[in-house]
Amino acid sequence: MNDKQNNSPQKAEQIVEKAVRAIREVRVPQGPPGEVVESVLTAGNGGRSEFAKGSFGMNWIMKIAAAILIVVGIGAVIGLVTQGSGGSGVAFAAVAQQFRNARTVTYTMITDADSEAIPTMRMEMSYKQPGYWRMTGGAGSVVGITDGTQKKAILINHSEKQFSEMNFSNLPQDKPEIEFFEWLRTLPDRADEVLGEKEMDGRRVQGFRVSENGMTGTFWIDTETGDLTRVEMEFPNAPGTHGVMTDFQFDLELEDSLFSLTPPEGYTQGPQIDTSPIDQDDLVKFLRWWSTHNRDGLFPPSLNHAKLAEAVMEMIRTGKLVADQETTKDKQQRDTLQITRGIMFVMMMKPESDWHYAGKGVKLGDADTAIFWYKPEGSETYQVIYGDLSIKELAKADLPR
Amino acid sequence: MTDWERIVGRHGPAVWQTAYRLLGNREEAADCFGETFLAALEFSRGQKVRNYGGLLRCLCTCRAMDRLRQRARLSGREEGLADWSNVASANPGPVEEVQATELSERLRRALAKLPGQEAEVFCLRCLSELSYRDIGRQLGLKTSAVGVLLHRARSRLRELLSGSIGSSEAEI
Repeated sequence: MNDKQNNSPQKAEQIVEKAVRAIREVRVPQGPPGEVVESVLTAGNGGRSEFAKGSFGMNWIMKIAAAILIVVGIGAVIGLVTQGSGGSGVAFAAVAQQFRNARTVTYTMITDADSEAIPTMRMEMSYKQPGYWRMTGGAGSVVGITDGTQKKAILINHSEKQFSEMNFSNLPQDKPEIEFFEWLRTLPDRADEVLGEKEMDGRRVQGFRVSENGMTGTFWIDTETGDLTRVEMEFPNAPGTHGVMTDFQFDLELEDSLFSLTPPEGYTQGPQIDTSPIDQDDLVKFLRWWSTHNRDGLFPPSLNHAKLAEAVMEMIRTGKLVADQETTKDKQQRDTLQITRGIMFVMMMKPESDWHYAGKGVKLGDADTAIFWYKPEGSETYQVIYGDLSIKELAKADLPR
Repeated sequence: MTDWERIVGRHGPAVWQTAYRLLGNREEAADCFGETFLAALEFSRGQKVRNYGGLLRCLCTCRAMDRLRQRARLSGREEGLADWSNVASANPGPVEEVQATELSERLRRALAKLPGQEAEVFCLRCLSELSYRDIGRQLGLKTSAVGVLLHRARSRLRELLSGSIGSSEAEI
């Protein structure tokens, strides 16, 4: 058979059929293992599944990682759509216009990292004018709803039958973190770079790239229909983390009830979520938490969230993780939120902050070694955090070499 | 016996079969099995489940696909996750068995390259044999959208599989 014959539609269809048949005829071994079934049954009867702590589990460090990825994903959307304009592209301008005019937008967002310690996360996102957002993750078990008009949000955890309410009214006016779509509406008409065409998912698409502050977003648009088919994102402060947005739908009818901030009946109040602006104190708290939970008193090897998740796994494997005396769910949730805020402080840093982390191998209490320094926005001097977690203000010339 | 035990007992075999077929690996299939039932449990606490069979197969397919995509991303570092001895045909000779194993693994890799819903729709229709209507209900899609996604998936799989198979292997 030659290549031409091999690529004929009939032949190709036969190959697909044969491949499907091959998978359908896979000899499935006896299973699943008894302990897996037992764990599933235990969970169903109200017990704690051993599975939840195991290889796939959303244990607390996974929750931290997951929370970070959600924030990264949302942040990337904001970052992409608030950038300046440059190149050209009629199709891109049309997509930008579509965002500006849409009453509703829905899409799927998948985030992952080049690390097995970070789970792939899939979220269904819905927006409705004038400022309502709904995010569903964890196969529907976690729902976040934001009402930008009231600057309020609710996080509903169906698996725990809990809800947490948040108020963002204290956020600075120039940082409207919850008005995502208003920022999306500012998508520039001109991309930085017009890429070539290629086949993607059986469609001919053209790419448009927008870059700023080291972050790059690539928009793929169907050349025939002009539909936005895919947006790919990379994150400067979280190397190795990827976000892909697909399945865009504009102007679907979305019921107002989907965006209700009223908690479901019978659900109890969950942990309070600190919505105050994140600052360097959050990083200091995180560094203290880490070094006091490391048996050797060491600071984290890196502030990259994927590496942090791997480092925690390594600490667990090697017995270096110090267990808390208090192991209540409430304590874990408080820790999770605090750690997330600390890492977010770094992730939100702009390149001009010139931040550096040098805490690898340094122990808590080392007052002579600087472990983190950065230049706050609008400042000429640097804030320097030392190994004893004291903070000094230094001129650039006085920074550690 | 509680309702949950009944649900696990009734649908467990189908979930296990779905997970193993898609992943071709016992350890990952076991993880996927556990994830599927825990997700269904969480889901059922938030809303009433009318069709556990459909929900479980959908959840299982989505989780298995997430794993296949992760496997594809790591493929440069990690190969050979499939069990290479578990494909049977009506009268399998050694050559046919190896070919079937290779083909099923290629299909898994190709599926990992499809956009989320296209892969899921294809698996639910062609491997789990759910109706368009049931797939639409589980994924929140119109029946017509299911058809479109399935068509796109097939079209893309034709390209991916025919492109990845050498002419001698493609003799069928």
